[in-house]
Amino acid sequence: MDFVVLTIVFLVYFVLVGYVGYLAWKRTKSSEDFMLAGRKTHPYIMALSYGATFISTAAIVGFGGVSGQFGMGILWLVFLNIFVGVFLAFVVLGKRTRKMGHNLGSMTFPEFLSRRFNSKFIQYFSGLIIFFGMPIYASVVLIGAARFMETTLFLDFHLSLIILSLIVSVYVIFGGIKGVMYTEAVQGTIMFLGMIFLLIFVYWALGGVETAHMSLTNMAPHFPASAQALGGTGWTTFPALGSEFWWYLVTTIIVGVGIGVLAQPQLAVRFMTVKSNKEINRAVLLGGLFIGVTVGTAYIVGALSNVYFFEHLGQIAVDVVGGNIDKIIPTFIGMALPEWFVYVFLLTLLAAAMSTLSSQYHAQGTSLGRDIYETLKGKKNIESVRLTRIGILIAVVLAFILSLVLPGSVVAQGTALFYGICAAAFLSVYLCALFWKRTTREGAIAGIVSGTFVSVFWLLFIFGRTAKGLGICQALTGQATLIPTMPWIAIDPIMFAVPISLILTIVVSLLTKPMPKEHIDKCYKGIANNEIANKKTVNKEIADEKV
Amino acid sequence: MILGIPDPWVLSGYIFTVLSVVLCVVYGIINWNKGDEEDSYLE
Repeated sequence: MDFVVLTIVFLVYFVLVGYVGYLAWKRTKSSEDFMLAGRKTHPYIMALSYGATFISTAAIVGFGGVSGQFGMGILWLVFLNIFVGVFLAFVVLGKRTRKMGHNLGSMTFPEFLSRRFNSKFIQYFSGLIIFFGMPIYASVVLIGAARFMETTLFLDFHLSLIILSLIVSVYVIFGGIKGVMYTEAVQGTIMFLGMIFLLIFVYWALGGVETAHMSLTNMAPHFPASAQALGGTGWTTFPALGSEFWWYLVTTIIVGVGIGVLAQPQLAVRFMTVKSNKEINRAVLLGGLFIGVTVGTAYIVGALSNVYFFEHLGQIAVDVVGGNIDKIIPTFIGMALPEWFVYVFLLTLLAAAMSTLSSQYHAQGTSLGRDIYETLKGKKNIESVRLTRIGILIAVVLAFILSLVLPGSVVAQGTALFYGICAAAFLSVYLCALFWKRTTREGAIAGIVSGTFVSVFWLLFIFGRTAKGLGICQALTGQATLIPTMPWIAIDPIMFAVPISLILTIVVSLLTKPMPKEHIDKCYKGIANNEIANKKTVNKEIADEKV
Repeated sequence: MILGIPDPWVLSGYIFTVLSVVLCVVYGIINWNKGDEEDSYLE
């Protein structure tokens, strides 16, 4: 690999991102511009921005590596990413969120829930969850990107942290959500083109779809003992029911990430950035294609790399990388693909990291500025943009400091922690807010608080991966987890926290006074009558055709 | 064996992935120009 060429490619990319960020800054005038892109985002930008935020480097390299070790069962996550994370999220939740968010004039996800339930508590409590939960997630992404610049550009790790923090913070602070979304559209395009080439190349190089899978199936006798010990059965077969890996795959990866995505504040806010349902309809096409190609490719290639490595080196992927599964995808690409593609792929990974990072900074900034500070002060719409910018700056500094001090065991759990807590806190209340008019303020508060506490408790004291990684349970009780037997240590918190939160939301709502009818009418204006309106439109079209 | 994958669980994951992409694409095409009339129609 030519270091000069790589440096030039990266510089061109940084200039392009900088230019797009500059355009965003020029087009940002009001707080609605800064937080919701003036509610007029183009569907291409909305779809790619959603996808690029959703898919970080960890999803490509990390889960791609999991696929290399354990096989293609993880494709169920891709299916849920597309069907739940795009189709249901956009069509069922997104359209309602957009309309209701507009009816209530809300600018952030916590503000959406707070206005829906007339509760300031919900706004600052949700803001606090985001502001204090997200820095760990952001620092994980930042560390990943900096490590990657360290190994590819031979830059010092600390210098890489500073460069990345500076570049991303400049366009987020000045360009607001437009800065975030415009640059994400550029980054998403790079990711899409890089990954689709990779997918086609790998199937072509291994003799076609069926032949490639067949070769992988025939390699079953070489399936690693390390994966078998945890319940893996082969690269093209599902893990043994009830084994440790089965629980991890099904509850943490497939349910936790696949369904938990619905309640991610930085993603849900995207629906409020478009003007009408037409943009959402178009974004479904682009978003589904984007997620399918980027994530699907990573997992298919991760598993199939075993075939390539075995044919050329006589070893399976895990052995080639010496057990560090994060290296499976990069090693495979370095060996099997043409040299020019290595540059494209490195750019793809950097783009994936920066796009996730920028949304995290923006979400934290709006949480601190608008959801926490302004709500507690009782002053709205006065200095939202300035306060949010300060919030973003604090978020950038926090992520930077955490990147320097966090131990590796915490880093490994950062993404799962934040995803899990968000899903537990928000998922059931968010769904009730959109679909159940009878939900009350007290019910919503009960749901958010119970979900948060059950999830945090389970993560710290029962769930093996996080409890052992964080070490808080060990320090307080002297044992690594409270219930050290299977399957409890292997079941993800989301499996308990979300149902408990949902039950409490429903029970407490039914026990308390319904919200005023005028308020519900305001929230659901243009929503409840949707179907009737659509039918009228269709009937009118049919009548017109007959004429 | 279909597509070289022996396990119905993994095979269904693969097929559902492809089908869900197709679903998004078809939905997007069918509704490409629908949805912008709603605001003026209802408000």
